[in-house]
Amino acid sequence: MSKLEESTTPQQETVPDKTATLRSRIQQLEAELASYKESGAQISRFANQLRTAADVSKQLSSILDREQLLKKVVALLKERFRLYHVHVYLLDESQKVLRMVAGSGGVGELLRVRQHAISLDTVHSLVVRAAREGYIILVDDVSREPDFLPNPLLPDTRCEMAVPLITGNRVLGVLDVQDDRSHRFDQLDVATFSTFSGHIAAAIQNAYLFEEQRRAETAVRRYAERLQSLHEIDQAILTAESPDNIARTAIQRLREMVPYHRASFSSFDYQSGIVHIFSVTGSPEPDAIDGDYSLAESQEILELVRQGPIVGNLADLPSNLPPLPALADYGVKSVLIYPLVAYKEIIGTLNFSRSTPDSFDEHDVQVVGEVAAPLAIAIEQARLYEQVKQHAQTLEEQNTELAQFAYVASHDLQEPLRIVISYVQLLERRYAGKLDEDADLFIHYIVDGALRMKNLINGLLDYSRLGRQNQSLAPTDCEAVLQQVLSNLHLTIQETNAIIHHDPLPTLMADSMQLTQLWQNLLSNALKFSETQPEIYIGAKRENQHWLFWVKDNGIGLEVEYGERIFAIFQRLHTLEEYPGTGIGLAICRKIVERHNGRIWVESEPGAGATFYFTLPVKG
Amino acid sequence: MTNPNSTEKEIIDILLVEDNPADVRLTQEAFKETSIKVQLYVVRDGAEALDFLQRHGRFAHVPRPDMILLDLNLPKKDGREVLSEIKTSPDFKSIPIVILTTSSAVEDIHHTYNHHANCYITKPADLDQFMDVVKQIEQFWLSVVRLP
Repeated sequence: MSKLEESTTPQQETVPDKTATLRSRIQQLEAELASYKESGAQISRFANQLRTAADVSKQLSSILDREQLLKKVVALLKERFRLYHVHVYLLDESQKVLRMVAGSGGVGELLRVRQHAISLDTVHSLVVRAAREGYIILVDDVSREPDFLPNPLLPDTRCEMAVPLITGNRVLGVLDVQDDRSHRFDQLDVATFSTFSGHIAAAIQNAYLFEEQRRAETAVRRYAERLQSLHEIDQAILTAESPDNIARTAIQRLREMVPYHRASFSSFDYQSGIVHIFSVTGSPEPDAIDGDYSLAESQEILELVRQGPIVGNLADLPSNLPPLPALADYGVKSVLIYPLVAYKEIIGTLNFSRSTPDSFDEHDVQVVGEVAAPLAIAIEQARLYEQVKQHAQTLEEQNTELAQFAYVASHDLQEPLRIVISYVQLLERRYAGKLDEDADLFIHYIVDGALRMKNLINGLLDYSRLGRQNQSLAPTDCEAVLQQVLSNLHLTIQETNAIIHHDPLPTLMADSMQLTQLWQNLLSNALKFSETQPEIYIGAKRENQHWLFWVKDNGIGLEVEYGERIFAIFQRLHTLEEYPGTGIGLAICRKIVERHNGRIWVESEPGAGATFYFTLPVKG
Repeated sequence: MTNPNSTEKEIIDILLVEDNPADVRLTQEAFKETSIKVQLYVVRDGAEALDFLQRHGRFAHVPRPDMILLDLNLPKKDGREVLSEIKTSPDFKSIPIVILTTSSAVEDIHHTYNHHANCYITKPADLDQFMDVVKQIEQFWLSVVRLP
């Protein structure tokens, strides 16, 4: 082996006679000519090599895939320089191993497939030396070189040149060229390959950069796709109707990002102690694992998912759990079971399976995890919504039933009561004063009680009828309604000598019968709960989309704490002796106002009168 | 057979179709307090009412009533059916009918007027109202007999 030798000194000779001188001169000239010819040949060879190098470099510059690039390098070099063998090593990520990445011919391919590599710690290796020292190592005759490692696949190698591939100050790898002729490479070759290695290194560096950029682009694209899928899942979740449908949709959409052989959803119902499982396999046939399982029997799985997602092989999971043996029958080898956690409780799991072992990786877990969090909340909310809907329906049914009951009961109560009242009155009429004083008093109490009961039943009937009947909304002149009410109450108004003023009243969409009842109840209360001459003011004021009405009196008033209670049915603040009544009137008022989408309330102070306010929408 | 339009009768024959004995007696008591003389015949259900009019069986010798007081809710054949049968019969459709019922349902009122009930009265809730009703019947009768 030798480092590069300086070119050899030209030979010179002196001849005594002319002939000899001339011959010598001729020889000299011949030699010069030869030398000149040789140098001309050298020059043309150099030019030729440079052209080849330029050509190769040009071809390389357009290849951005590293593997393709190096394949081309070795092929081109072998062909253009007529070499026995060429291959390229690159330092791997650890920077400690030179890995063969391309080689010429079948041998090169074989070595590459075998992942031929040389550690930088290897002492006797030309390639390693070139990489470590950063210089071209040339061996003219490998048989005399102790550092040469013979390769049985390349038996004819006689000389070898290891050219480091350097860009900047960094060694990327080594270009190794071998030939079956010893002393094959001269200075010119060394110079050419030295230049050439720079080009190759630059091209490799380019390819590295391009790969990196492409990796980044791929990552960005995959993120965008993932976001798009997640967005689609979100949309699907929003439009799905039931918890099961939400889970089904999400699992179906996940297939693009986490390809699976089979998938299912387990939902846990802690109240009933049931795990409900259904499969999302795309097959319409019922699945063997579908159905309800006991939560108690699934305790082991539950304990496991409490720790986090289960990623592993079916064979490693407890085999006594109900749905798992059935999975084995479907050829399932590996599973990913992901817990769905909503409000700190595991509400179920997403179960994915594949027919190859150890198949789920961190990426799968990460993607499912991204979907699982919003999915769990959506499922839980859908569950709650279903519950609320069910409760509302039950309530509505009960309400209707109650209203029906109240109506039928009060209607049927009327009949016997009518008989009682009529006969007691007949008794009073025929026998008052003919028995004794006690009998008269008792009869009076019976009549009084029976009449009160009649009022109650009538009130109850009116009240329950409000809930049963449809409203007939029509333009209603409140002025006319009030006149009707005043006429209905004219006896009381006369008796109490009441003074009644009112604002101009509007016409609005309402049920006129109900409005009449509303005003009549409020006015008769104002007349009733008074200890002096009643003064009543009826006000009206337009406020945006509704009218505000009020009935203000100068009566006894009430404590503000009872302001809400007086609108409940059968609620009274006074004894019958003080103020008679059924406790239904204001309940009817509230029902009428609420059925008109309005609001009713009272403002009052004891002794300072009361003002009852209510609102009615302008358009009903 | 009597005809209210031909001569003024001293006694009015009224058929009361009513299943509740308390109501029957109350009606009887109420008519005691009126100025007109009333012979009240009582049947307990719709089928009997039609037998009465057609003088079937034990009703072979009853008079044709001058007026019918009909309760709507009756056993066997209810008041609505009785009403429509009477009002579609050429022989009986001229007899004035007063419906007495606890029902104030709008559909009942429409039904009975559509079948030419002459009067629809919700059963009064107390004695005074009942007396009023009987007085109205009396007035009604007097107006009917005065018809040409």
